[in-house]
Amino acid sequence: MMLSQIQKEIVETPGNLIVSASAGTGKTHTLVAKMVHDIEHQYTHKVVAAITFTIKAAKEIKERLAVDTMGHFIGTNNSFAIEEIIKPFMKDVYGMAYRVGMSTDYSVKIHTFEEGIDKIKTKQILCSYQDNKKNFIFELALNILKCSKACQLYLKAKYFKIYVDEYQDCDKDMHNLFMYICDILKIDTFIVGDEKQSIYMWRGAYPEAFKGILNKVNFSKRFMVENFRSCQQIQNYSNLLFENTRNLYVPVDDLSSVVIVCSSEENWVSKITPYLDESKKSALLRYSNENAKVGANKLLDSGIEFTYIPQIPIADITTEAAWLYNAVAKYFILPQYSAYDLRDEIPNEADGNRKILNRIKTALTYLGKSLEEKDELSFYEQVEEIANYLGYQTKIDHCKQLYTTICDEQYHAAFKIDELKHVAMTFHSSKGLEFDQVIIFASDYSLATKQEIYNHYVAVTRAKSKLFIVYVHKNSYANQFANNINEILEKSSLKMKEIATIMK
Amino acid sequence: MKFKSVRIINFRNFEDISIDLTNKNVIFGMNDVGKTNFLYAIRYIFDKEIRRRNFGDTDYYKKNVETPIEIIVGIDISDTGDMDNQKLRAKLKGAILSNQKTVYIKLLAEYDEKEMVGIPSLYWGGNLEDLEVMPARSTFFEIDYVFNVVYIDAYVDLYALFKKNVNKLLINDNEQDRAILDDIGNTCDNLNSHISKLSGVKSFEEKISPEYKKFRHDDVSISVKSEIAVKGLYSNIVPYIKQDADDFLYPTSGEGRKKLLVYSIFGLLSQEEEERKINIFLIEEPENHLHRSMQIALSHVLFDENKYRYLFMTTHSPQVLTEMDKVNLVRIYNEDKVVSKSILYKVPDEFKNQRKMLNRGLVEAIFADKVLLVEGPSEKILFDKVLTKINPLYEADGIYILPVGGFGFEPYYEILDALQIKKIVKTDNDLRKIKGKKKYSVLGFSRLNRYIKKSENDDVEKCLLPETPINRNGVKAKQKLYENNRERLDEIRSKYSLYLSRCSLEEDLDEVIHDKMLTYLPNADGDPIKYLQDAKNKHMVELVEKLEEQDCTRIYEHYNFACLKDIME
Repeated sequence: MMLSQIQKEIVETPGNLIVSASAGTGKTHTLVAKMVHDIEHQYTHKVVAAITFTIKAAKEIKERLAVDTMGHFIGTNNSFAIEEIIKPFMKDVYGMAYRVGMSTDYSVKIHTFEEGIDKIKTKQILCSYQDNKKNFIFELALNILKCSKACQLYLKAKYFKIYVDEYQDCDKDMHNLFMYICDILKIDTFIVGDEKQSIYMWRGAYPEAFKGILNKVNFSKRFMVENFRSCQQIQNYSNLLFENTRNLYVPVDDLSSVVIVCSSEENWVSKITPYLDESKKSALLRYSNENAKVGANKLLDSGIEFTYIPQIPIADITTEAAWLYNAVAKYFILPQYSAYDLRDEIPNEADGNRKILNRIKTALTYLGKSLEEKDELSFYEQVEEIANYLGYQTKIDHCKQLYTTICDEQYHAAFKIDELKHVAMTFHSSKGLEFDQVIIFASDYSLATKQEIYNHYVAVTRAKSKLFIVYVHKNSYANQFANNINEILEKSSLKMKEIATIMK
Repeated sequence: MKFKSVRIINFRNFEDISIDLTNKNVIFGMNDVGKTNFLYAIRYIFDKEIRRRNFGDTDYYKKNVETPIEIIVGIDISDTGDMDNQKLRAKLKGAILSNQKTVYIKLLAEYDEKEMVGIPSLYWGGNLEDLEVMPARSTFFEIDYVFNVVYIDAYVDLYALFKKNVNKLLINDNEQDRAILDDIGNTCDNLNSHISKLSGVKSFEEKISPEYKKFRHDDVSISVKSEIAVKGLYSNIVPYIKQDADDFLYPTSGEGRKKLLVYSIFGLLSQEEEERKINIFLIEEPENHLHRSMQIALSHVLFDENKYRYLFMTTHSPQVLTEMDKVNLVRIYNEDKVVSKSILYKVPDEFKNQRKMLNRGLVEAIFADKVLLVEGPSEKILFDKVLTKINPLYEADGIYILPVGGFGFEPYYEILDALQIKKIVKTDNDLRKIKGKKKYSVLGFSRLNRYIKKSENDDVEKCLLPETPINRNGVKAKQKLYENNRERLDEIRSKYSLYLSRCSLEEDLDEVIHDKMLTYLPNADGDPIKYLQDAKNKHMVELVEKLEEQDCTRIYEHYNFACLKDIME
């Protein structure tokens, strides 16, 4: 794929760089192109760290990189803090009593920092704060990094650049650590994000951090605003939501791409269907799982093959073994997913280790047998065994969740989103996805707070060519939406009817 | 990065040996004492290819498989700005703590009686007592990402080396290359179709197939082709040498030329690796096949070029060491078991410009077992003659006469002492006028005292000579000074192998063969001492040419030259 002018500039800009990238502007594509460029122009032993928020995003970067990723760190922010700082250097600061095999279990909650340290010593568990806006892992990592000369030297000796994706999702503790690495250790840092897509403020994400870096003198700044995904009218609608992007508004004649569907709880489906192109991909995005499910059924009743994508039971697992549950599920649910694919998902594992591969194949065969014989207990045992072999701990509850995920077919859709034409899900799980047509509900966004506006932005920017906003009469949340959106548009001296088709 | 130490336990001919290291190490000693095994110990740590061979029972010292083999290398990585230290640190991770400066890399191999093999495992860290397991993927350890071992055998085969690395050395991957390679392919096809048209080839092919089919009724025919068309372009390329003056190609036939080309190829290959890895050069007897002057040229490259920053080299050649400086001399030798001594040799600052001259004598001496240190070339000429008469092969028996000349005894004495090479000193009974006084300091006595003080004997004080200045100068004064202290000087001879001339070479010799000297040196006008001192080397050569066997025996047996008997014993 070619690079646009601004993308090329980003790829070639050396040193600290922050990029504000609106939805659909080719953020991941640019990030990967930049990594390839930087790695190819680096002639020492040093490597890069690409830090993402999800295992899925890390995997996507790995797959897209056309260069050898051996030795480079590509993983989640937590695994960076744990594997590169806490596990190797905690003993350097806290003493040899902390040279222990640690595992994570964020379901174990603590109230104070000292309590967390104690849990590591006594239970070998890295846990999380009761207050989900505070981040124990990163607080500890920064504390270790500040006190351990060896840790500082290690990071400086190993990395020539650190890339952090989705920076708007960083909380304060993460931000402090990354800025320490950048400002004190002087490791070049590349940051990409979009304040408008902050949908995790409820769990501590701190978009002010991203804005703060835009004001730092030691960072170059670039803005990616050219949306390659959504059509101009949808871009207009999303841009008008924010003061910074309001000026990007370009009037269009054809207003058929954004449709406000005024309807009742009962008839919204029949109002939309005439305008829905069944040959194109579409998604119903709702705030709650329940509403997504109900909506999917209604659409199904009217003859359109909508599939509800449920929250899978293993989605909530936050231990280090989370990837393994996910991979095992994929192996038994997706026909094209092989033992090789599973092997390739092992974090920090080199390719081509035959011993491991054979062991995985054997384990999968036994797991298959247990599933066939519906022998749950033996299934749990087998999962535990392969996990232990790979150096991970399992929990009985998690094994149960995995068993359910595989055996209950309603969950399989979650693994096949790409293959399905029409899906219904929460907008939280739609992040990073795109659809030709998107249906959302005005009542899901009161637009009263920044967070609500960010949520709305993420939902609408999933749409490429058509956006339906269902406006249900006599719903107080929908009314609130109407008042607030009118107020927002007023700032640009525009009215809804000038930017969208209103279908009474 | 600074190599500090190595300890080898229960490996081949080493029971337990500890050696201080630096970044350039020269390992020398008699044949069969284990120089190559020492390099193997280093290779087992750093070279994955060697490590993969594992250990057999004969790799255990005296086949003692009850005790594990251990090899431990210490490396100082405290200089945080050094790129090589960073390469190592980037892999060490938390194995080294903030207050630690040295990283220890340890190989441990317990012998598995059932499998009949010792499989090495590696450990590392900043605390030797508490090392961490080095992460590995099957036989590929973390240090294998860091170090690249360049092992240059004494008899490395140029063509095999070239062939093995041809893909790295010749990279034809630009646009035009593709067209040229296609051209070459076509040319090869043409070549083969021409070959197959030759009448001799045709008739061979016709006859050979039926012959073959007598053995086996395969559905095959046999044809003759150029190798290049079958095995590919690179199978058939070899380096030639073209002289700048003419257009002919010469095969790289001379062994010396091949050797230099080998070093050049290793140089290119290591350059590739240097950006990302640390090259360690392990070189065995580079002198083989090289003329003396080429050895000296090679010495310059090995000790001066930054490329050979980390060097472990075995050698028997003094010439290879001509340019040595800041090098760790490691002497491996056999007592009741194999032991070793080492010293960091650094050319003293005051002699920097005369490095080659200073080194010339020393490099010869370190290969000997016993060294007689003498004042200058006259002594060397005379003593060589005397010793040759006593034992024509005395040098082969490990005896070397080293004239210290203007450098004085000091720089040589210390190094030989550290390497545990037996040394005997023969020095003059010098006096020197004290400025502004009618007194003379006893220079020769002071010199002896200095060496005596260096020794570790307990009765040092008893042996020291008086250093009070005396009132007179001249031959008589020197001889009197000697006689007054003779008892103590004799004790020094036997205890410390330090021999003071009664006066100086010429006078002392005159005491032994005065009559003969008058005969042999007709131009001396009856004063052979003055004659010899006038033109030291030249006239000594004149005398030595005429010395007969019985003269030599007289000198050898005389008190004045007892140092000669001492060195021969």
